Amino acid sequence: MITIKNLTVEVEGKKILEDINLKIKNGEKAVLFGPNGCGKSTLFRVIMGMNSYNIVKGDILIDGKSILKKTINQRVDLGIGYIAQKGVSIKGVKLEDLMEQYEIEYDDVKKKIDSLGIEEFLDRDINYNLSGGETKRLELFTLSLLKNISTYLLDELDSGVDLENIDRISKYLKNTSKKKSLIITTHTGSILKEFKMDSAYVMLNGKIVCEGNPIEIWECIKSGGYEKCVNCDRRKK
Amino acid sequence: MMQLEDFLENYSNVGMNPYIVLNDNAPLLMETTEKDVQILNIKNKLVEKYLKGFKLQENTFKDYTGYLILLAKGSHSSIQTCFLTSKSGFEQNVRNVIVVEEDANLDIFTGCLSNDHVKSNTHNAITDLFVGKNATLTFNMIHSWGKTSKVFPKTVVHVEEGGTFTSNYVVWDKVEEIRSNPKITLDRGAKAVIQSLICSHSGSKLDIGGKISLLGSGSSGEILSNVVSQGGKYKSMSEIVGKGENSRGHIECDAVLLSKSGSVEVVPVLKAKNSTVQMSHEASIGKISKEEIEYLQSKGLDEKKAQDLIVKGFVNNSVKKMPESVIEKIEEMLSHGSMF
Repeated sequence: MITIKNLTVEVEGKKILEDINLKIKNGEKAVLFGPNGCGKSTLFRVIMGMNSYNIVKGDILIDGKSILKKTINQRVDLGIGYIAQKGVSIKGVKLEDLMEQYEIEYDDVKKKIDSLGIEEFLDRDINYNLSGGETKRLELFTLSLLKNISTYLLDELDSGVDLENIDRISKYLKNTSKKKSLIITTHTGSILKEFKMDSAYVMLNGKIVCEGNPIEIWECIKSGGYEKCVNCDRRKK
Repeated sequence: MMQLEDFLENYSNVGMNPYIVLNDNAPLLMETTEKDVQILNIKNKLVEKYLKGFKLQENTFKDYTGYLILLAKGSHSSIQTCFLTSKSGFEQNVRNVIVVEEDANLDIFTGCLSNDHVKSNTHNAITDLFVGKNATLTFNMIHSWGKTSKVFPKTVVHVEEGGTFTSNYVVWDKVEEIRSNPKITLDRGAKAVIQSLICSHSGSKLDIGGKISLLGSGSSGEILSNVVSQGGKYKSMSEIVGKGENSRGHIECDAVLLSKSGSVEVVPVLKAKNSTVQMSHEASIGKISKEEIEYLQSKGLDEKKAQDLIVKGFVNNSVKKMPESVIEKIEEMLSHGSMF
């Protein structure tokens, strides 16, 4: 279980995440909505321990234990798997070079390779010259190479991805994440058509302002945009 | 550093013949006088006869060793050579000449090493390479000198019309000092590529560059330097002079900095002496990006493993145009863990 308690993060004295509280139970599938720049990606990077963000308040816990002092890879070892909005390309490092790091044989992962259709990417530089959908497929594959991942953080899995790839990614995810916790961010909502989520949260200006049924919240956003969420938040205050 | 036996075994497994070893300043033991290829002790009286008419660098050595390799017109060959020093404080002087005649094709694989017990040795070399009309010479050199070795080669290359000269120069293990700036002249339509992969270890002083003179029309030259800096002083002065009509030159240097100490100094010089030449240069020097490290950490690799993989990628990218056998040797060197 991943718990975020009163998390406040600053960059150059400015709050970019404010008093975030979130509890994702084992096996829960949650979606995080919010307009571009609201802090969704930042929240994921803070959970992963990236970018050396200044956490001024609060805590992040895995199964009740704080992970704030853990390195990125130690957080992965504790069960958090992360896919960023944009894949990073590294010159000269091929996908098969990464596979070697896990001492995984081709035959052991052949099914996953076929299911994600990434055979042709194995001997190419990671994420180099790939379309949005191809990058997401590759990233899902690399996630599958990690052992003991219990929580997936998937940032904008459906952005820049065509319908065919959304379908493929959703099917793969359905099969591989049955017993795992999942937090997906989206601002297009496309993945919701294919993938049933348990809970939804809306983030505005670094704060979580709403939570509820994923479909209802999404329908609300679709009908009135995030402006509707802003007004709703004001009314609550 | 590799033991001699391992080195020889390593280098003899690619099925190339003949095999030349120049040990200290001892004369070349094995000479070959076949129709296609002749390999002679540089002091053999026939050498003077064969090299009549060739413009050679002055031989300033008194005590020296060396060879002449002469590949006959239209022939193809691959030859392995090895420079070896076995005594501490020894100054090896090598005088070599290679002539690749018209339409011939020669691949040279050279390894340089000193025995483990050898300290403070110096390797001097004066080398003249002649590439005939439409001929090809690929010169592959992998250093494995000792940590206290000093290496000062003086190489001059002339490539005739339509010929191609490629130099693949790899220095991965620590060496105290290298000063290597080959000078290459190209006739009409001739081509030269100087590629290097250098690891600059702490305490090393490396001055590795080169000059290509594009004399003939349509000639082209490239100097591609790839540097992994571990704290040594690295300097590269690369110069291309474009004189021939429509000649083309390109200089590129990529350096990745792994240490807070040391320095990388890159000086590209492009001289256009004809209005039709095209020349360019690119340089990139910097430490490994944090974004790349964090990305690999998010794949479960610790920081050290992430850095190693990125450097390995840099190396892979640097050598991708080198011959497969050179790439295999580099992979072996990396797998010995001398740096990682």
